Amino acid sequence: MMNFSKRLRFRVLDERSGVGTGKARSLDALRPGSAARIVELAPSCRGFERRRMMDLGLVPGSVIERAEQAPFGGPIAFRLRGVTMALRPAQANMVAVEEM
Amino acid sequence: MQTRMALLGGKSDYLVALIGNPNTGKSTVFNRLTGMRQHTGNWPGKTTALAEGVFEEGGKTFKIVDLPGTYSLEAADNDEQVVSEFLRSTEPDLTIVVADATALERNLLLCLQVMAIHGKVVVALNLIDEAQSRGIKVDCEKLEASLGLPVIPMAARRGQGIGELRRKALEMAKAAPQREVAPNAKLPDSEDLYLKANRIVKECVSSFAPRFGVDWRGGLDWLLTSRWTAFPIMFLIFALVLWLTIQGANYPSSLLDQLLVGWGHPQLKGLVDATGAPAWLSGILVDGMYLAGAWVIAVMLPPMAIFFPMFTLLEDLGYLPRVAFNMDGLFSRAGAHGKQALTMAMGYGCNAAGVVAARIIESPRERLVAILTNNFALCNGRWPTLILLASLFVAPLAPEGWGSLASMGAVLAVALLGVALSLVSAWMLSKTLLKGEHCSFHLEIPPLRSPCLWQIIYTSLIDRTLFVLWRAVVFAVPAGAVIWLVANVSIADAPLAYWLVEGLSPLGWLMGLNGVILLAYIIAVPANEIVVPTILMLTLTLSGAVAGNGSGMLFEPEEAGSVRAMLDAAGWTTLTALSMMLFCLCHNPCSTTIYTIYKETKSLRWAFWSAAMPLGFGLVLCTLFALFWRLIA
Repeated sequence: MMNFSKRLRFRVLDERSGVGTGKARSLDALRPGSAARIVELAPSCRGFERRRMMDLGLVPGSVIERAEQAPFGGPIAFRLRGVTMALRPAQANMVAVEEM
Repeated sequence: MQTRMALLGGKSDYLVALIGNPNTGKSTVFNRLTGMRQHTGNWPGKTTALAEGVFEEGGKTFKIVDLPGTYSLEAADNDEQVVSEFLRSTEPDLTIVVADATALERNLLLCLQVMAIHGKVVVALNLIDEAQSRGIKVDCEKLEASLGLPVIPMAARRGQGIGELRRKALEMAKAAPQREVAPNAKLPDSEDLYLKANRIVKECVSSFAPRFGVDWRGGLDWLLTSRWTAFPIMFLIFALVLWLTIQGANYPSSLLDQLLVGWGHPQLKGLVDATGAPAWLSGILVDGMYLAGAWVIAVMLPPMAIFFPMFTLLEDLGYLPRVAFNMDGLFSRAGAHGKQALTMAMGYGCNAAGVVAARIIESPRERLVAILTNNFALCNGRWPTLILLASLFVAPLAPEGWGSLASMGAVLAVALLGVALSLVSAWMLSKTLLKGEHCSFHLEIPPLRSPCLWQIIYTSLIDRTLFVLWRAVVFAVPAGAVIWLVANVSIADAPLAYWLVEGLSPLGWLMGLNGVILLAYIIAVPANEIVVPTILMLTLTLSGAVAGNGSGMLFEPEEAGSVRAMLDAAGWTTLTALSMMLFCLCHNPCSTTIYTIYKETKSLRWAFWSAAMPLGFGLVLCTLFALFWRLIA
């Protein structure tokens, strides 16, 4: 399980062009309480899902702060544009961010 | 334009569209403007049907349409399609965008999109009091200048700003459009709009430290959702709500029972008999229909009038989305949504209400899962049955002094089995009937809010309690007639009930039950509450203990001892009671719930499956349990 999500994370980063500093990672890998700037949504995030995530404010350049994760591998809470919202880890994994 | 004319109906002067992100207090603004009360919840996506209302200002009549809460106008889902189509096709005279002052940046996306396709827009900047208390200050003049739109600061829950909004609406409806826009203009790119929103917020919003150093919400929030405390707190709250409901309902229930059944029934019977009506007519009307309706009111009204206000209080506080957050880890594994925990919690009050509550789940697939599995949340009507059976049959099995603990444990075990079954059936549905359906997740966690008591009482009593009670009574009254007929119509010297019970007995035996129980579940389908009284009535009728007038009348178990003796005499064993406890959990929902499922899904197919699935579980589980029991014993 762990390995798989790590692999997924690297794939997300590899497919990105340009931004590739050591600080780049996916949203679910952020430490609680730390903030990051969104770089992009993974190309594998498409259609309705992509549209919805952009409507929620997950667009490049936005600053997002990670809060707690729910028990039993549940969703992770984030603060973005003054709103607290939760995404499942698999969804957060599709958002590439740059730590600030 | 045709829709526009239809909406105005010749009576209103102006058409106003009310839009906004979910959870911005849009429905509160709507209620305040129109004075027409309807439900508002503290979670996203509550408004699904289009609510319309009318308000008057300066001698003009405004028709206002409350459109579903949406994040954007890009037609990603149904609600967004509705909103964007409405704006483009009906060309309202004015669009009010309700924005949340505590999260202005996110709310501005929708506002900027509306500006692109509509020429007359006013921003209702709601929750300004909440922003203030959280240390957020919005400079409304600057915001007006940067947006080029009028901005009305409001605290709709307290009614602040409503007057200004009305005056502004009148002024703007009369005036020429702010900008010329083509209604079919293309929406600008979201990323650009977010950049713009970000720039505006930087100019107009400043933060200051809240007056009271520590933010109490942060600490409380941590307590409610953290790894170690979330589940114990959730369990305690849930247990407390159930305990208060079951205990608190006892006294008012018996009072209502005395009034409606003890006093009202003989009075009514006397009145009808005095008119010289034949015995069969007064039997059907008074002993059948009136008694069933009275019984349902007496047993359903008090628990619902306690449960729903408490549930609505938790909703208003903002606790429920946190429960969904805590539970999603477990529910997602079964292919379900964390919000299903809330619809299940509601189901413990009433499954019909739980099914309606599933509207809060935006994703159609997960919503259907929640609707179809809600029956495994034991409703108010079934707790008393379980408690009675456990105290009659399980308690005596335990050693001296441990009886009540044993019966409590048995009831709890059935409730927990229900939770497990709802997860298992959710998982099975995802793998079979709902395979490949689209799935999505997002959960907004609104800040904890201090509750609005009047709204809670209104919502819970009118929208929930009376709504459910009315449906239940409508179904129970004809069932009362059927119950009376079954016990009183005779074929070949035996009541109809006798032949029906005979026919059902083999299946009953197989499932560890008996024919009487199965017949009771069939004719008491309108409400789970009347299952036990129906069983007792049928048992008495068939044993011949009551002759003539008394048969076909529902009655309350008065003394546990006499009921146990009566059931023992009718051949009940521990197996019968335990199987019935299982069947009480796993059988078709009551007709009120099935009808509600049909209304909510608009599909006979899903209404059918919602009944067939738990019934299938019940048949299999009870049969296996009985087989196992007979092999061991």
